[in-house]
Amino acid sequence: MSQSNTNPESAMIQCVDVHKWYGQFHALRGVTLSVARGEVVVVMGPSGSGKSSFIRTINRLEEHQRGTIIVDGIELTHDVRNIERIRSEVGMVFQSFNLFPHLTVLENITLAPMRVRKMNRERAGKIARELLERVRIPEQADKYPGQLSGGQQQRVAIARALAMEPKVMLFDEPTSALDPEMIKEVLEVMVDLAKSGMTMICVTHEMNFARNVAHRVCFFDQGNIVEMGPPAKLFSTPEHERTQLFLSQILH
Amino acid sequence: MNTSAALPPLTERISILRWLRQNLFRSVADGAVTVLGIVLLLSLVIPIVTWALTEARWQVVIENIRLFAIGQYPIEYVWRVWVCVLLLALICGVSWGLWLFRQRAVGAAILTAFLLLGLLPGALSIPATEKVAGFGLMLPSLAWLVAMSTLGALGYAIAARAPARARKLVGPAWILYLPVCFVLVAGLGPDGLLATVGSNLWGGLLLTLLITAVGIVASFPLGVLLALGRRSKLPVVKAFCIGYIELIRGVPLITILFMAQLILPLFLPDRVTFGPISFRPEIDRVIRAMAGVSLFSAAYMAENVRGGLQNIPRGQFEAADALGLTATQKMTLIVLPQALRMVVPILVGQFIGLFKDTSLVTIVSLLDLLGIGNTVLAQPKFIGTQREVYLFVAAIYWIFSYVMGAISRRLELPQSASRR
Amino acid sequence: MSDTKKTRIPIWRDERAYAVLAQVAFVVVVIAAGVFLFGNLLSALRRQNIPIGFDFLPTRAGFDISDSFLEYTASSNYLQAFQVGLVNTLVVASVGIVLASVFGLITGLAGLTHNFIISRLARVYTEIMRNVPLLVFLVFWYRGIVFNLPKISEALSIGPILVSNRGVAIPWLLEGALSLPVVRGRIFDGGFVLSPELFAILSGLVIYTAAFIGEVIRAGVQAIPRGQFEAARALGFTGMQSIRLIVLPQALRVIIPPLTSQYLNLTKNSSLAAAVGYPDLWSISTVIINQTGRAVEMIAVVMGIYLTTSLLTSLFMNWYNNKVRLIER
Repeated sequence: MSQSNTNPESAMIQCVDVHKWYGQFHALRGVTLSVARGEVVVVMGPSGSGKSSFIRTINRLEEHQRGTIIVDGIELTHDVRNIERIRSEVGMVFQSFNLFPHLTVLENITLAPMRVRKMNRERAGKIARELLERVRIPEQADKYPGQLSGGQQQRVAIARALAMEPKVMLFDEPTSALDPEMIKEVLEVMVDLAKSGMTMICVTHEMNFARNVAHRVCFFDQGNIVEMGPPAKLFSTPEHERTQLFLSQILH
Repeated sequence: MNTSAALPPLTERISILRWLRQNLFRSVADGAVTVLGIVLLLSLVIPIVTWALTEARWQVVIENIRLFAIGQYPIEYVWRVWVCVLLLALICGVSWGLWLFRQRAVGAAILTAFLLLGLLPGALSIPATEKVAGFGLMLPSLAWLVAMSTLGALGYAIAARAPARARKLVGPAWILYLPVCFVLVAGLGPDGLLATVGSNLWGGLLLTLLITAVGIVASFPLGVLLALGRRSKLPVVKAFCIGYIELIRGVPLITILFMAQLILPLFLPDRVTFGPISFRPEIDRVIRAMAGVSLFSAAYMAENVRGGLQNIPRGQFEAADALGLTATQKMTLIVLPQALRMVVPILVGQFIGLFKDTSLVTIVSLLDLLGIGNTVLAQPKFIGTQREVYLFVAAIYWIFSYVMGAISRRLELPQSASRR
Repeated sequence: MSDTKKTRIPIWRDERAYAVLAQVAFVVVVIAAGVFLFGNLLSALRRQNIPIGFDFLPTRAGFDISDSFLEYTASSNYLQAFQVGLVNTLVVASVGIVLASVFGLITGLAGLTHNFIISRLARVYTEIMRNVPLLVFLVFWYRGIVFNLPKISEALSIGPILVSNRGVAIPWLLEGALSLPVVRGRIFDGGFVLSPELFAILSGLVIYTAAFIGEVIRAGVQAIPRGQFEAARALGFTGMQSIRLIVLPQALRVIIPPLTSQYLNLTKNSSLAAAVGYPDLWSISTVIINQTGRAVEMIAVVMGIYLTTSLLTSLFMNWYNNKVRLIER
């Protein structure tokens, strides 16, 4: 395994020996990963390899049963205060957008800042409009999610996550449910975000995104990281045979 | 060549004949069934219409219309009931202006309902013997209609002029409406404008509507809580809710109403003492019936709400969690608004059922619409008018249920989840 | 978890504790409420000198029951009276279910035909029944219609069935032979005679429930995509065959769950028999309550009986649904 180039003390996310079972099924088998501040990590792997489960343990959408997860110095335990703190520092973007269909775009974005951060309506609205500007759909603020295209919805979802001013952003296959022409507009936003210095973990199979933006690529199989390294190296000279097989499949 | 050969047969060219053929006489058997149907229809309709126009003694309804409307409610306080109706007109006007202005059918239905209500005060003033001085309660029905339309239009205008403010006020207005009505109907003090009117004097349609309204309002939160409880991860809470829901749904309403009448009072302590104050707690008969109806309805409500909850995608819960919303915020801001919107038509159907079910309070001796009907039949003057009385009662139930059902079928809720 | 420096989580912030605490609190509240309410109940009963228990059942009932399928006289005891009611309810419910299914099927199919008159008739009938309370319909039916049927000497005969205001007589198997009813003076002779009350509750429930069952069937058939019927016709099945072999088996899956709940409704609705003077389970129980004051016991037993019926039905339904689903895969 390639050596992590980060100092554990300053790591934004530190996972050590993370295990998770669904009943009898051992979904995560001792994942160890540490992500530095401002680092962009792309996670790849065949379906069912545990990559989604892994990033979902980081904001406690799934509970890990063994091991340690520390986000920005806060350990994820059964302590509700820690869970709340971590969730408000970690933004998440889902494959199926998961926008709230009964709220307008603006309300979707301002909801959490107002309810969780207790921000007033004016300030939250101002931030939301700035974010919509940043994801390039300022004109859609008063529409409902159902009136937007998939790509627009996903950009709203990114804006919604950013409104909480997270220190980390998790992307769970953000472009898998999109038509090809919409993938581009979402990736552009993600590239901008990476350039702004956001710490990001992205589960995605977008090779170009990984090649151009990621600092590191992790290859998942059977509940663990099989291989990890800078994209140039991992894509050109994969060491593990499963990585080779997987790459040959998605590249063709 | 004969051009008519290119033409379709006569039955296809003349639309009425085509319609007849397609809808009534597709085949010989079909034709026979049609004839049979017409014979059946006529043999039912002709005697009924003849009876209704010649034999029937509708006088029993006309002379007792006030009883049917409000029971024994004192005539000098009837204006309080009408204030309730006027308030409703106002709030409906505002709501219509805010949400439903595009839906003509709904508007028409609501207008019809009000027109029907508006006819009642006119009818109330029919018996000349009852021209009692008071707060203009004997105004001709036209005046009431004008007052109601004015208030409705006023509400609409408010909604059009100041939608933001109206939007803020309309929710609390709906929430406060029923308690305000209750105070108006029941009264507050021993005398004065708002003198207490005992619940033994409430009756007729007034009582039926009151029990329905209280039933809806009380069973709604209870039903939502039970639905959430039934989906809870806590096994004890879940078991309790399942037990309650299945118990109630498994037994007839009448047994619950009897329980509310006979056993509920026994659950109360003999005396309640707060320092110097000591009293014997009692629940009014009408309140007991309302409690029974609400407890019954809550179980059905819970199952309907659960249907909506089950249709909320997992992703909505996860997105709320990922944003850091608390469990309560997740439920009240994300899950319930969507789940309830999904089941609105079903809930309206259930409310209609509840409205019809309130007729069972007759069996525990309350004088609701049906109960009043029974007392009217005991008047010596109107012996043998069962058909007239019960048909009239049935017609009132029918109109209310049908109109409510028609509204709910046409109702297109704004921002419904189906837009996704 | 080798991490030894790990701090203990204060219990009020531990999510695992929440679940336990919430349930403990819930149980405590429920038990406290139960103890409070039942304590009040017991002391209220004691004050009124009403014992609790079923010791009153073997005492003499002393009231007459007009309709009974069992041996019963005024000198029978409460338990026997109760049994009479139970059997009456069972008879009304089971016969009612069969008849309501038949008439419901007719209504449902009538609503589905292309024939304008017939489908309109079915719709009007359904719309009338669905928007009127059952109790109102029952009293109208009993006091307005059944009471006003012709006198027995002028009894209407609908085929072999005789209808009068003193009851309805139907052909019946008596001692192995079919016995047709005839009018003899002021009574029916032969056949089986339904009292006006039994006739009223039975026909009232059937007319009312058939409208709902008709809707269930209509909706169930309409849930089958038109393509299924067309495909069947294209394969050369006749109209009846396509309905019997293709449409009906699929529609049944949609129909059976709501149909069962209509059956349960009919059973529960038979408790309104008192409104037409028919002595069903509930109506006899209210008489017993009035005589003995044992409301708690009687209501509990009646509720228990209805509840058992519906739980058994639900169990059957779950079993049936699982079976249908297995076949599907």
